[in-house]
Amino acid sequence: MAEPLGRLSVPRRFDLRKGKLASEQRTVALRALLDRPDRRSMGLHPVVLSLGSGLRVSGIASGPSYLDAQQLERLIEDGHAIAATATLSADAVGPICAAWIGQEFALAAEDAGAPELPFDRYQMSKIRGAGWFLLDTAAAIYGALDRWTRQTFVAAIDRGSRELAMLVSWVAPNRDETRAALFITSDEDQRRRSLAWWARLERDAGHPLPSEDDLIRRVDAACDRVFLDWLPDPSQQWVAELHDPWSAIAIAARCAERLGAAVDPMPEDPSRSPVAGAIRIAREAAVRGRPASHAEVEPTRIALIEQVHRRWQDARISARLHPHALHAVESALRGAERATDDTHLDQSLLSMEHGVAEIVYPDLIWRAIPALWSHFASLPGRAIQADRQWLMTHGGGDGVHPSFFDRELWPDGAPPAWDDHVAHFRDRLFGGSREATID
Amino acid sequence: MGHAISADVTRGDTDPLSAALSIVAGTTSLGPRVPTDRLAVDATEQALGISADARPIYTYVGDLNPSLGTVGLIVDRSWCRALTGVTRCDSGGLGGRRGGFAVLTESEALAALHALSFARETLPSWDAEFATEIDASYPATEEYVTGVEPDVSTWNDARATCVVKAPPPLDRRLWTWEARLATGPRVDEIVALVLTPTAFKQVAFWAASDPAFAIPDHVKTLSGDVDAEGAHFHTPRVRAVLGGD
Repeated sequence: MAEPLGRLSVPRRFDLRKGKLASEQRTVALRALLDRPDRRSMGLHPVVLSLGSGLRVSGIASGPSYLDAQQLERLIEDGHAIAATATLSADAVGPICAAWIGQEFALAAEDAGAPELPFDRYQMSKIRGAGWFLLDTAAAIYGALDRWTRQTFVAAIDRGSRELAMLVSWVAPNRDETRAALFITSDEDQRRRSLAWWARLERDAGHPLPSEDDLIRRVDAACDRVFLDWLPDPSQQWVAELHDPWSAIAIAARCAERLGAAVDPMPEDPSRSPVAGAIRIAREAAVRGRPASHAEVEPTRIALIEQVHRRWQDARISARLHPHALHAVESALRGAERATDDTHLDQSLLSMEHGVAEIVYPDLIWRAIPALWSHFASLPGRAIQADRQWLMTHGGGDGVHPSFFDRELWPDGAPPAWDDHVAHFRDRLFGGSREATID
Repeated sequence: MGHAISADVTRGDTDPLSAALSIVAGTTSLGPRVPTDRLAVDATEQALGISADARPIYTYVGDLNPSLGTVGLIVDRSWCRALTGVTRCDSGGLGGRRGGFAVLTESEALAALHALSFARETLPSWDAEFATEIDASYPATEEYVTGVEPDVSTWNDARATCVVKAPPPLDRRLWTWEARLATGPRVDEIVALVLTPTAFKQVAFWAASDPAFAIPDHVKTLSGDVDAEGAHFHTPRVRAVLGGD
């Protein structure tokens, strides 16, 4: 009968990777990986170890701890386990499990640009045509998987990557973070199916059948646990703290600049683009310290309605009257015209607060996931705060110094995959795709 | 009743999960499988008068065995309509004197096999006997399902001898009741699909990516999980459903 791993006494060390024993006495050897690993997955697997002729199961939290050679052979034959060999380090203590990286999983992770895998394949043993494994304690393996799962959850959501969400599912399909990543990066059909599937799993697990709202609250709670975005959102209170309307219009122009590309019908021709035109008018008003004339503003306003607003109605990406990015551009334009009466800064801040989230997930933003929206408001919030700090120091008087507009639009870096998100949003708006309105 | 699924390549199964899903969907039905310990099972079946060309489907009452398999089914007791025999322990282990049964002599094992088995005229009484034994041997049914060693002080059969004399650790097949059935369960008799963590990953993938993927609504999908303690194959929920929840 095998002794418990904790009481093993193996005389000398050996090279695990080469499998060369320094001593043949009382060595613990790996015989099989249980819960047959899949080439598409990464995870933790119980193992079968041998000490002499005895076999012992290690890494199952509750269940049998032993089996005989015939049972093991049958498990392997029947496709429940996979034969594997390695020898344990002399100083190993149980419970020992195997960390597993499937061959297809590794390739998919590389293709999707996933965070670095938590185990180094060059330090692992290979099972030809299937994947790699290493032996360690359950706590160590689970800790590494848990960290990678949360990192990849964040990356999946920031990039809107369904591929990354699916990878997370091949690691920890039951976690709320996984469900959140799948839900957020899906299309509406997939979301509906996912909600029905999760509700059913909850019921099958003996819990009360959750409603869609209950499940979405869990998506929100998962986001809230992982994202650490504690910076306050852009606030209307800031309007009052700015000394003059020209600073407010300058900030509005910057908000429009950050979001405008997503709704620009002709980014390749700024001289004809109504978006570029609106931003230019707002900038000039802020710099010269004088409102734009109605005659100057009106053609641009009409062009925005005709070329962007109507397009939004036709594209039917969302049930909203117009996108936040367009609202930011229009607010800057109106602020430039009305200036001392109404800088429209509050509208610009509101658009900026929701605009990034809308560009990344235009058909999801109507869902109640406050922690997610708060996450997407944090980078714009920091960018606006940086603008405000500069203006509090350098602003005031008859206009904003032109160098204000030469600064980085995103001082902490643009949102992840921002150019891709903007291009995708623009494609949906102007590319002729027709998608169902979200009611 | 619990039955761990194996892939049967002769039926075209590619893996245990695909085999289980086709049974759950009613595309194929559960059939007898070639025993692991063919010698012991053949001898036992001969002793019990089971024809070699009518091998039954073996299952366990309140247990999924082999416990280390990746996919199992829990079936409603209405499947007993196909019952052909019951033994108060693993018949093949007893007949072949395997594991803890090795403490018996050949003649003791053969006598015990008949004494502990229900067939033909004694078969209808098996469930009442089962209930009586569980009541007398465990504080609660759940302990039988969990695999806890029974209190054998009131037992007067060969199993008690094995439990007392066999070297630890004791295999629950010494006292877990075995049922033998002539045909597989109907789809509506399948209560739950029990999946290990990796088997569930595959199911979760299909659920997320294939709009046509479906498991009948009445079949509970019960999955194992992993945490810092290791892998959990049979969760408390699996045991509860095995216990009739």
